Amino acid sequence: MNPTGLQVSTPTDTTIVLTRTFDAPRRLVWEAMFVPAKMRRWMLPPPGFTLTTCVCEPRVGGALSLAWKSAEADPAMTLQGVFTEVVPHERAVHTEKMALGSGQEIGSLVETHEFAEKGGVTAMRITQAYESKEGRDGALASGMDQGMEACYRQLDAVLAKPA
Amino acid sequence: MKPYGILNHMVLDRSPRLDRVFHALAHPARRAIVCQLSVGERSLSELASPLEMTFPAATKHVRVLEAAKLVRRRVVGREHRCSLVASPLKEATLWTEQFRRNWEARFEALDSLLEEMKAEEKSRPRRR
Repeated sequence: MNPTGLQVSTPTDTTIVLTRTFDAPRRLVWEAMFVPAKMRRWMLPPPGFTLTTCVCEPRVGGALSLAWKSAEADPAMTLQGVFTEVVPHERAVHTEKMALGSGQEIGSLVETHEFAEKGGVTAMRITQAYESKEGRDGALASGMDQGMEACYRQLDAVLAKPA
Repeated sequence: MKPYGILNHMVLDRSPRLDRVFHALAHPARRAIVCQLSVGERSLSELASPLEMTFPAATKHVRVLEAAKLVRRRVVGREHRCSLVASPLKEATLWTEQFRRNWEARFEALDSLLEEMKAEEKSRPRRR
């Protein structure tokens, strides 16, 4: 396994922990994570979605506001949050509420980002704390849906093959 | 904070039970069966027909899935009804695998962005 590759673990029933190292000082990683012009470069939206709004103010009380549109709706999905703890280049905690364009809330969590630098390499840890196990499982399953899509495409391929 | 110290116990798990899960999922027909069962319970013949599989072949694949405890079978009258047991999938972290891949794709984009940012800083040294 690639030692710098992303690791995902679920240490408790309501949390997801993502760990990843980046070959850059943490000052740059921080900038890439929290400066909107930079965020737009890597926050690849789900297929069919386009990021329309991107506001990020990494200071206590600062806002986090993202919105995506799809062919059907604008906004199709929103993410609203507030920074509650900020130690520049080191640690940031913000709330996060995801909602559909209709306003229907689809998830709420607290996200903690931690950055540690060693020899120009930054280890980042993101802890996502959900309100419930159902919320946490829902977030994991949102990826699972796409996994199943791939799975079904594979099924199509199996079916297409002459017996 | 010890970001290097986090060990994903699931990834490091090398239990024979997990081996069986991965072996069971290593065959496309068995993955297709798991797909079908993810929607709900199916009889053996319902599983066999869309795969253009013979009944004995489907039975054989279901047995492998049963051995990995991915599938449970119950007999209702003359029918064998199969259902998916998701917990070994979770254990095998397949449950989190797509989530991980989605985020890894983003972080790979972030890697290239960081390369650009580093190159920019080199060409325009920051004045302090």
